[in-house]
Amino acid sequence: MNRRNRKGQEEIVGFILIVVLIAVAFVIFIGIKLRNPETVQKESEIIYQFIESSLEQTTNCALKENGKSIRLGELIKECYSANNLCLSGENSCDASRSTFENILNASWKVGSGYPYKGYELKVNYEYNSSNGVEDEIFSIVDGNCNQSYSENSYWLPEFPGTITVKMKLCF
Amino acid sequence: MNLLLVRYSKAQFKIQQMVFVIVAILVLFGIVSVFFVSIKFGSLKSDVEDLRKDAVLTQVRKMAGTPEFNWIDSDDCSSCIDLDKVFLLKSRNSYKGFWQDVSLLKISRTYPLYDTSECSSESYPRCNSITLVDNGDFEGYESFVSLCRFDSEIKQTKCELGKIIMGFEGVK
Repeated sequence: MNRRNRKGQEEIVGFILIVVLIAVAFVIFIGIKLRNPETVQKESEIIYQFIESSLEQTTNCALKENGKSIRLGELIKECYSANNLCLSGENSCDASRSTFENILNASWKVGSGYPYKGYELKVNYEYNSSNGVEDEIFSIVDGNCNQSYSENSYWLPEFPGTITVKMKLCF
Repeated sequence: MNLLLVRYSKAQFKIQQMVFVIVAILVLFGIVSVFFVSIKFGSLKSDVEDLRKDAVLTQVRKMAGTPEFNWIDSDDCSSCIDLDKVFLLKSRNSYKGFWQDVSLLKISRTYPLYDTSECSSESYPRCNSITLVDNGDFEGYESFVSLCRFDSEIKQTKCELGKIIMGFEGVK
């Protein structure tokens, strides 16, 4: 009787041991999963539309006397290729950067109290995309960007490579 | 006979016990996998929602290419809207009820912003929005566009960043 009881107890202990082992493995798995939150990266149509429309913005920069004020896309090309001064005396890279900053500030409110926590805009020149060679023209960052963001890019042809405008909107 | 019966019942009990353990383990694994699958596919609904929203945004933006809105210039600009044309449309009675099934159709300026909100013949072009349709009760979708017009002050075409906002009845 005593032997039979002990055998029963041993089996219960074995079963509990299996359950405990599985539970521990599960807790470890959940712990790892929660410690490394999944990166969320999405391609966003609104960002593409924003960049495309922003590059059509007429800036305050005219390069020649009685010349026309040029569009932001042209100004960025000007900044990369020649970096001439606008008639106002402002350098074309500073003018394109400040115009983009104003547009971004007016379009996206970012911070802890808003749905979007931050943004990153990078304007680069890529001339050998297979090797990933790129020169940074300028970048604008505001707020906090972690692993969850929407992004998109827009290309401006500039022989022999392309100017890429990449934007991340973090949430 | 009695002895045989007892042995048979003990083996049966053992099998039953083992089956219980296996079923318990299977149930435990089942719960764990359901939990895992629900975490894994939890984002699926929001992904579908995002794709649907992107499709609607593309449709909204197509409005900029319609003859009533599009900007015709030497430069190819699919996202450009002729602001003068839109402002004239506002006062045209023949266009009343033209955009059926649309509860809201509005063009608004994003940058730079002026003090006056809705455009009138007095405030135009130094104003921020032109409302063509507003029937209330809608969910709005907005898409970035470029608002272009000939500026007589600087004697050239001037484009500024704006949005086309559309609201559809019954979409909530």
